Amino acid sequence: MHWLDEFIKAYERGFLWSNFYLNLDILVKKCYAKELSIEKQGQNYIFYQQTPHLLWYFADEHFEARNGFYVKVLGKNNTFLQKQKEFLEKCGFVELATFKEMKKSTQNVAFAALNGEFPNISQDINSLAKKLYTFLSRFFSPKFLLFYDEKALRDKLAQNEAFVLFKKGQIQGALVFSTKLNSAILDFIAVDENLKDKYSALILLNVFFKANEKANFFKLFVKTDNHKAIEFYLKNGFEFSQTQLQFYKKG
Amino acid sequence: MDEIKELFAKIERNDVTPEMSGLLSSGVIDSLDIMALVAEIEKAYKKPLSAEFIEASNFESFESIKKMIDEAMKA
Repeated sequence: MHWLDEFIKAYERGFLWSNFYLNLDILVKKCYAKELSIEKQGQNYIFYQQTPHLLWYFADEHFEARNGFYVKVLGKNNTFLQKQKEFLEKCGFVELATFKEMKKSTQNVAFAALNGEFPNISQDINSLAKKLYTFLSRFFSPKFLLFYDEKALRDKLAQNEAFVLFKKGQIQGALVFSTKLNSAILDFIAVDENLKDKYSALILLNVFFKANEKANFFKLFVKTDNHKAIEFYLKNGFEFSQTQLQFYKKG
Repeated sequence: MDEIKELFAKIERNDVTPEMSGLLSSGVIDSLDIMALVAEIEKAYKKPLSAEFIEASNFESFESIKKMIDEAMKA
């Protein structure tokens, strides 16, 4: 951890390039919990995360990252995003995907009353978490997108922050959300592509709305080329915000 | 409140002024602005801001941000 103490001192003076958008306290805690490992290259510090395979950089010059790791850059300023892109390309990263944030104010939302209890946990929670992880992995790459592992999904199910739709014993749709400050964030939603019932996504979305009546905003990120999803969210009152999330890959 | 104004300037949010209220609840700022603001606070005070202070009610006005910083830095 000796690099960490040195890094904290360097952090105070600032770095030219960084994709880290959380606070220092969180970074330090993740290091002590061994969720992140730190590497120093010259004056650069790189933090590697295993689940998913992301890295966080604090750099003054180009750095050499390990192959197979991904970078995510979050920002709402196009100049910032463009500069990070140019920097990352010089470090050997290739742009992979862009997501845009969509949000919806909870003001004037008519929260649909749900009939009965949502068919969520009628089976063993560990087994359900495993099935849910397998289901979500079909839609969101565990390498860089699916940031919940089975254990985290089990916690989400237990906290009623994950909902699962079943048909004939098989998962047909699922939704996972989290709350942050005054917003409810739709982390993942997926519906089986072969499902004939076109209302499943709408049911899941309404469960999400209902579960978060007290939030000020509903938020999500959608891949910019996922036109079907964008249309669905626009139809349900979401609007694009300025925030973008870009993924890059090394190797 | 000049120091709070300066922090907002550093995150390129010069449009946020001391007279405004309901900054977070009305959507003037969002979580990304807050995290950028927190990073600037940590650099300015040379001390990590404990996660317990990152609560919605602490980011509604210049006054509540100032109060939060004062409490966090003496802790």
